[in-house]
Amino acid sequence: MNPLDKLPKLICIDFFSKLKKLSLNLLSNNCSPKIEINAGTININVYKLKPKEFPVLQEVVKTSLEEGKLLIVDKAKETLEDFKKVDSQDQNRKLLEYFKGKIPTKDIEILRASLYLKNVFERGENVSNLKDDIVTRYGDRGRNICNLCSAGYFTSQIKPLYEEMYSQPDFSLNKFLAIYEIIVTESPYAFFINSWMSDKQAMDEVLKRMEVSRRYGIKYLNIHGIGRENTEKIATLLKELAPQLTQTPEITRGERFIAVKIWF
Amino acid sequence: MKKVITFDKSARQFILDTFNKSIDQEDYIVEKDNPGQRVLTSDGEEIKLDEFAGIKKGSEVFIKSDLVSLIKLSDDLKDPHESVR
Repeated sequence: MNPLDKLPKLICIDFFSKLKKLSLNLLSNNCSPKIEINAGTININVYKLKPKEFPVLQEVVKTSLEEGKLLIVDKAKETLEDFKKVDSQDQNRKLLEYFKGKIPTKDIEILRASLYLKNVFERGENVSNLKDDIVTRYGDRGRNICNLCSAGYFTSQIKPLYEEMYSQPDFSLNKFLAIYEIIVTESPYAFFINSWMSDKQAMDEVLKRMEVSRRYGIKYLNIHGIGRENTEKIATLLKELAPQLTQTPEITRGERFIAVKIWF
Repeated sequence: MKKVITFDKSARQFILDTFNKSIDQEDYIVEKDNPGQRVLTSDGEEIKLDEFAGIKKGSEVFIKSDLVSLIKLSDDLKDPHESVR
C-alpha cells in the first residue's frame, strides 16, 4: 500500500488524496495551521502532527525521494530557480561559450557563478552571501574573477584582448593565458575598495596597484567602490592622489556604486 | 520543478530524523546510529546543519546550500543535451 493512501485517514482531510497533483512543503512552527493548501502547494506543519502521524509522513518523504523527487530547502529552491533563469540568458551563455577552451575550466565555473552574482547585484539585492560562497570555494582567484566580472571586464577588456592577440600572426593560447593570468591574479586594470580597509590601507593598495599597472605598460586604473562608505573612501583617495594624476579622473556614479578611472 | 518536496529551515530536523541523521557537537550532520560518521556531500565535504539544502536520489545525496553547490545541482538536474557546460 502506498503510504500516501494512509495519510488522509491519519490526518483526516478529504483532499489529501490530491497530494500527487500538488507540491508538498514542510514547515515546523506553532503558529501555522497543521495543513493548508495554498496556490497549488500543500503545506504540512510537522510541529502539529500527532506522534502516530510522523512515521507516515516520513514514509511519504522517503518514498518520494526513492521515486526521484528532490528534497530541498525552500530558499535554496528559489536560488536554484533564479540561477537557472539567469544562467540561460543569451548574453551569459554566449560569454561562457566564448571563453570555454580559452581560459581554465575552473575559471569558467567561477565566471558562471560570478555572472549570476552580477545579475543579482544589478537587481539591487544583497550579494554578500553569494560572494562569500565564491570566495570560500575558490579563494582569492574567485574573488578577483568575481570583481572583474562585476565590473564587466570579461566583456570590455579580456574578450577584446583575446581578439587582438588572436589577430596577431604569432598568436598562441599560452601567450594569451600568460596575460590573462596576470589579469586575474593581479588585476592591473582594476582595484576594488573594501569596507574593511582603512583610508591608509586603501591608499597603499592603490599605489601598489598603480605600480603593477606601470610595470605592464598600463597607464590607467579603475577604482571601484560599492556602498556609501566606500564611495567616501574613494573621494578621500582622489584628493591625495591628485598630484600624481595626468588628467582629470573620469567618475561614474550609481545609486550604490562609484567607478573612477584615473590616468597616471 | 514539479518533482520537488520543499521544506523550510524549521523543518530540517524532521527531514534529518526521517533519514536517521542527527547533529554532532560541532553542528555537523552525522549518522544517528553512528555519531562519529559525518555525512558527506557528493564532493566529499562534511556538511553543517546551517549549510544543509536538501537531499537528492542516489543513495541519499546530501546537498549544501552555497551557490557553487546549487550550480552543480542545477547541472545534475538538467537534461544533459541542453547543458552549456
